Order: sequence, then structure tokens, then C-alpha cells
Amino acid sequence: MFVRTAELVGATALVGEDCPSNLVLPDKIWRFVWKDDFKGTPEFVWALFQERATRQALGNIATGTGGSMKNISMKKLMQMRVVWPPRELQETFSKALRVLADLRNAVEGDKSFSVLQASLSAHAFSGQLTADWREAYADKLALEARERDDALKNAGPIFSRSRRATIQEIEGVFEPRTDGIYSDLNREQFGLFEEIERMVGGVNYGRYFTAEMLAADLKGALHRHPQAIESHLAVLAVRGLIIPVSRPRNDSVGDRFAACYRLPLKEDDARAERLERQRKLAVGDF
Amino acid sequence: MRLRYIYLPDYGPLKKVAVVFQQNPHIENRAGAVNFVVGLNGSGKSSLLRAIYDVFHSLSLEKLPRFPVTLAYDIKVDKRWDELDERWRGLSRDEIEKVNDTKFVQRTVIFHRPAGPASDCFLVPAADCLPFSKADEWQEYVEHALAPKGNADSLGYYVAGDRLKGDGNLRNWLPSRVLAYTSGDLKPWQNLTYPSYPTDELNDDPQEFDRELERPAGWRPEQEYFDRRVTRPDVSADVPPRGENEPPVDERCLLLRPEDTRLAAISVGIWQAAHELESRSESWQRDAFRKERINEIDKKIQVEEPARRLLNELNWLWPTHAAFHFADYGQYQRHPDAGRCFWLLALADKVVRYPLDEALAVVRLGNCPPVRPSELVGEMPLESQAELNLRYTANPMTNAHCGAEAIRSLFGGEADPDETLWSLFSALRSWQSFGLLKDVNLTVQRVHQLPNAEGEMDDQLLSYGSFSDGEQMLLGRMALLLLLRKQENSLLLLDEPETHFNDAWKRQIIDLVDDCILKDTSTQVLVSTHTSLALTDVFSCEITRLVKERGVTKAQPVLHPTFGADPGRILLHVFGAPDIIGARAAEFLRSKLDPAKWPPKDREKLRLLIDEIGSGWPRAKLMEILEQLEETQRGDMPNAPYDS
Repeated sequence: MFVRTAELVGATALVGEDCPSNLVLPDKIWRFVWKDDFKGTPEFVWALFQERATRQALGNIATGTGGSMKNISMKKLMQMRVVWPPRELQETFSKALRVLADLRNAVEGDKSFSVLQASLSAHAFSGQLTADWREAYADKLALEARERDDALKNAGPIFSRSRRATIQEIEGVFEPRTDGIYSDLNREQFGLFEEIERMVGGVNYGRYFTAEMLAADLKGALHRHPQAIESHLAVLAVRGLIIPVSRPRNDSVGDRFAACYRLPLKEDDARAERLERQRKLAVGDF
Repeated sequence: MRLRYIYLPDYGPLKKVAVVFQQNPHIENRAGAVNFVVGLNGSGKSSLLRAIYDVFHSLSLEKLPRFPVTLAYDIKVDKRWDELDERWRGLSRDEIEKVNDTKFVQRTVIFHRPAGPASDCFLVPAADCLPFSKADEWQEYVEHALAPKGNADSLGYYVAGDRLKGDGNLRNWLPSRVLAYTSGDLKPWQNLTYPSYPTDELNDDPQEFDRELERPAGWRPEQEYFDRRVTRPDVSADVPPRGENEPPVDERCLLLRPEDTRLAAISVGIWQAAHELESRSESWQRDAFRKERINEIDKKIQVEEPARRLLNELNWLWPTHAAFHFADYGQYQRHPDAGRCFWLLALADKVVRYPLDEALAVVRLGNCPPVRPSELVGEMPLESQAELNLRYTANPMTNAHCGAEAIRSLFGGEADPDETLWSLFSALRSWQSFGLLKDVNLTVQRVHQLPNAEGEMDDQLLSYGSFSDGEQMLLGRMALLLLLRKQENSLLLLDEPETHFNDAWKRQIIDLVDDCILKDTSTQVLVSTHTSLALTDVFSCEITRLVKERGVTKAQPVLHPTFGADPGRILLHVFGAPDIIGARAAEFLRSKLDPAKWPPKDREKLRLLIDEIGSGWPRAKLMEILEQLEETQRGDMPNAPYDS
């Protein structure tokens, strides 16, 4: 469009393939017709005219008095000097632009999809969707319902009122905690702790562990890095995530006690243990 | 507080040693003062420090020191409490300020303990700051103006040596805190501070001879408490709680044990985290904070704030968690400070039971929802009436926004955050002395990330114990300085604090002392040192040199200017070293400085030698010889091209 107010002078639009061929344009809207040896892409030209510097240049060459009567002559437009990158760059740009446009279309499509789905579900749950069908098969449905009720009566199930755990809650149990004493561990320490929780106390592993033992058995980057593991274990111990203990050894020649770690048990929660003791006192259970 | 003068007629190796402590008038706007004692090993530096500590320690126990001494020091007195001045009595601080623009007055206090009977000793605050600057003037004033008994009435306040006991005003004229730290052996210090049994209470009544009451030498009340609890749980060993505001007598003079520097460092860590995290609740604020620190460290920017400067030196971002290791979890209610102990346990994210009734309480120091004591109590069963009462006490932790802030408020109460560091430290120290607390630990995040075992960049998070020895020592010792911040009228005695430090850190010590406390706290810091590097930051009048001549130690002033001087000069003039360079180098170079020993054919050899020698006058001298050799050679071969 090369007439009208200053903002609209030089406004461009890309016309897609699906445009009707019998389109009639007014004389103040021009169409770019590319020569056979055109070394550029329509997308780039479109973007060029969105660009601030180009628009300023257009504003400068526009003639016409009055704010709403700006105009540009074809001759002046053709004389304008613009930035013109090599063809390959323009094509890269066009390709990126098309990908973006596709993405945007997809997102917009998605929106309508979710709206439609919500509407469909609403219809389905309210029974409107199958109203005709149910009416047609009403007798058969009533029979099936009676049979189901009898079967349930024979099996004798109990209906509880307990709230079912939501999927988020179930997943929450498996998700690693990152609050309180679990917070601010680095990735390696966090990974190590998860690994310890998985291994220790299981079928193949005892309750106690040391850095050397973990270094030998762990897979991955910490394998055979007892010193790195030891410094991580020190952090985990300060956090109360593992408990450092000394244990007597059976070996009569060596030290009588030696250091190792273990995971805390439920009984190791000192406050809970105190609460329990108090509860017992209160109910007279010594 | 500011030390002015000490005279020791006979104390260990120090015989008739008089020291006048001076400050340079060029350094202005300093509330506190720093002085240095230097000298060779065995010259009596540590003895001088110990004597000063001994005097204040004895006086704080309302006793006379065991040796003759004359000591003069200035004390900053709040006009509201100044008993010597009737004019200000009963006026508020603002009213005083209207009359006179200062809130405080400086008074010189003189303590004199001659070799005679206790009644000849006295402690006298003078009407104002005494202007003497020479040892003779001080001694003259003490012996002629103060000592004669008849003058006592004319003085507003006078404590005779035999009436120290029970004089409630005495403590107002003593330093509020005396902290002594030695990097050397603690034994000689402990020996002098352990009280001897008062003569009048020693009786030989056979009825009172009870071997059951005897304990091993050097036994402390804390040990008694701990011991009774272990061996005789049936005997009540509750310690009577003390008044809220009054520091117990033994806390006035503190001889710091090596583990205290660790506590001091950890206290500073928590306290600084409270300061830095309370206003940064959003993660983007903490990220920005980290970026600032990275910038400061990478570009070696000198940070104004001393605590932060120190932490940057250690690449310390902030501690994420504090872990309090309780030695007897089950018994904590019997401790005099059970209230705060209770709240700390309630605040903890987790309390893990350790073997033998030990427990670890882990508190997350980072941001949390505002602390509500009433909600915390839900997790803590209340066992005793005392705890039940606690439940209803207003708690300063309320609404703290991060764990560190909650801990700071718990120990510091409503006081100005700047003044709370001492409270935090002294509470933890007393818990530790009583055997309640075994240790405190932190997990600390470093400022920079490093590649992990997999080669990916990862946070560096380590326990405080994993810091290097040097780092722990730097933080621990410098934390002592921070402790005394805003602790008016305190005295810090540091015996060779710079051992184990590298030269760059040694050089920083004085600057840190200056920034930490001297600027705004009326504190005296007295440092004994062997480091010439540190003295380049000090005026010569602030240095006392102890010199041993024929077995007798004398105090000598330092006449050579030291402030901003070359460390080599200080080595020569203050420490009396024969040479700036090492003896090995000196001997070698001296043998090479004779031009006659360099024949022209060795020209190249000499050139190579010069390349290996550091700048200094021996190098210049050798260059001279080389030039001469080259000239001779050119003279020999007039037609040769110029040899470059």
C-alpha cells in the first residue's frame, strides 16, 4: 500500500498460494512482480519493508501534504537503496520464517483442538452424545445393570469412602525431594544419594557402607573415585541424610572400632521418637 | 578502650619494663586503636600480652593480680551512666547531646599494684583523658599524685586493693570484653588464668577434710556438670540460670581455644548469610548476588565490607545448612539455656539421632516461608513446665524469612543485627563448654562452579571441615575481629595471629583489623608479630620493640618510619636482621662482588649469573663489574665492531 497515512505507507503483506486468482486490487496497492533473474526471496522483501530503517527511508521519500494523504511514486520507490544480502542468506531467512509460521499455525490449531476436545468431553459426560443410542437400547442396558448389581452382591465388595490418591500424589512419592535437608545438593551429590538409597539395605547390599565400597560398586563417573565420594558423604552426613557411625570390628589385630555410614531409619528421627515416648506416657503404656 | 601504659617491675622474663602505647595522629576517624609488640623469639612478647590479660582477668574476678603492675587505659563512658559527673545524671541521651555534642566521654583509668600489701593497691578513673606520652610522666603521676593515701578523698571514685570484693561499680571501669588468642601453646595461658584457692578459705579443719570433693587439677564447673550427669544421674546437676543481660564474669575475659576459632568462623558464616539472604528471597536475586561475587573475585575487586572480603578470599558464596551436633539430646532441658535449645531443635528441618544419645539438628539456612514459632512447636513435644511456658513467650524468630535470620534472631534477640554476632558465638561456646553441644558444622556453597567427575559444570558444595587448614584458620582468626564489632570498650590480644598464613594474607591482616573494628568500635587490638610485611601498614609509634640485652628484656621505641616502608627496611630496622636478603644468598653474592675475581674471559659467565639474580643492590654492583669488563675488552680491540 503506497498511499494513506504515514504508518501505512509502504506496509507490505505476503500473499499465499491459496489466494484467488481473480483478485482485484485498487491502484494504491501495488504488487511486486519478480523478474526472471530476481536474486532474492519474497519473504525477505516483506521483512525488509517491516524494518525500521526502511520504513524511515520510505517516510522520507513520501510526498503529499496532510497526515492522511502521503504518497510515493513508483519511480522513487525503484530508486530506493536497500540492504540486499546474497541469495543464499535470504533463502535461509525465508526457510526459518516459514518454519516459524508453521509453528504458529500449529499452536493456534492446538488451541482450537483443546477447546473442541473440552466441548466434546462435556457433551459425552452429560450424556448428550449418546442420548439417541441409549434410548434405542434402553431395555438391554437395564438388563445389564441388573446383572452387574447381582454379581457385585454375590462377591460382597465393600465400598470405602476414602479419598483416592490423585495421580500427582502417586507420582510425588517417586519424585526425589528437593526441600529442607535435601535442598542445595549439587548434581553429583544428589545422584550419589539416590544411588545409595537404591542400593543400600536391598537384597545385595548390607545396611552399612563406606566410600571405598561405593567407589568399587558404583557405575558411572564416580566409579573408583573414593576421595570424591568421601567428600560428598561428608556433606550428606552434615545434612543428616546419612549417619556416620563407628562399629566394632571382629578382627582382633586391627582397630577395635572403625568408621562407616548408614541411612537413617524411622526410629532415628529424634523428635518423632520423643513424641512417641510422650504418647506412651500419656496412655500409661510404659 | 585504649591501652596507654603498662609497667611491669617483675613478670617472667620482663623486669622493669615500661611500655607506652601510642597512636599516630595522622590516622583520623578511628574509634579503636591497634598496637604491635615485636621482638625476637624469647624476648617476652607473649609474656607482655599474658600480663595484660592476667590483670584484667584477676580484676574481673574481683581479685588482685599475683604480680606487681601499673596499668593505664582509657575507657569510653556513656554520659548517662557516668557516675563521676553529676551534670548528666538523670538526663536522657538526647538531652545530653543538646548540652554537649558528644554522648560519650573518655576517661583514663589507672590500676596500680605495687609490691606491698593489698591495701596499697588501687583502681582510679581520672576526671578525663590524661595527656601523658612518656613512661616517666605516667610513673610520676601514679606515685606522687595518686598513690599517697591522703589524695584518695579528692578522687571521685577510688577502689582500694583490699576492698575489691563486692564492689559493684568495679566492672564499669574494666574493659567490657577481653579476648585472647594465641596461635602457639595455650598451656602457659591456662595456667595463669586458673584461680588459686583463696588463702582465707583454706582451713585445716579435720571435719572438712573430704577427699570425695577433690577433682583433678584444672577442673572446670562445666566438667563437673557433665561428669555428674554421666556418673551420678540421680544427683541433680542443674546449672542455675543466669540473668538475661548480665554476661557471666568468666565471659568477660575469654581465652580462646583452638575450637573457638572454628565456632567463631561458623558464627560469622551464619551471621553473614542472615545478612545477605534476608533481603534476597527470590532466586533471581540470589543469582545476581552470585554473579556479583564472581565478578569481584575474577577481577580482584577489593570489597569494602570486611566479612564479605574475607569470604570472597575463600570463594565462599553462602552456607546452605547448619548442623548442630548435640552431645546429650535427652538431657538438654537441664541446661541453663534450654529455652533457646528448644527453639533451635524446633526450627531444625530434621533432628537425626546418633548413637549414645547424641543428635544432629540440621537447619536449612536459605529462604523459607516466614517462621511461625507456634507452628514449629507442633513438631516438638513439650516435656517440662519450663517448655510449656516457652510456648507462650513472644519469640524473636517470628517472621524470619530465612533459616540464618531465624538463628541470628534466636541468639541475638531484638538487638541491632550488627551486634548479634557476639551473642551467637558466646551462646554456642557456652553450649560447647557445658558438653551440650559437641560441634557445629556447615555445608557451604562456593562461588564458582567446577567440572564434576563427568566433566560437566556443577556447584561446589562442601562441608566446612573440607576447607583447607589455611582457609579455616584465616576465617577463624579473622572472625575473632568481627566478633568484637560494636563491642565497645573491648580488648583483643592476638599472639602471632599470622602464623600459617601466606604473605598476601599476612599483608591483609592490618587492613582487616582496621575495617572490621577500628573504624567504628572503641576497641584496643594488641598484636604480637614476627611479620615485617604486616608492619608496613603501621606507624612506628604504634610498635613496641622488646629487645633482650644480657638476658634482660627492655622495651624500645621504633625510630625508623615503618608506615608504607619497604618490608626489607623493616626487617633491618625493626627486627634487627643483618641483611635484607637471606644469609645463603648474602654469603654467595658477597664473594662475587670483588671485581678482581672476574677476569675478562669470564664475561659471559658473569652475564649468565646476573640473569639469575633478583633486583637489588648486589645485582646492580655485578652489572657495574660487567660493564667495566666490557669496556676493558673494547679498549683491547679498538678495531672490533661494537659488541652489543
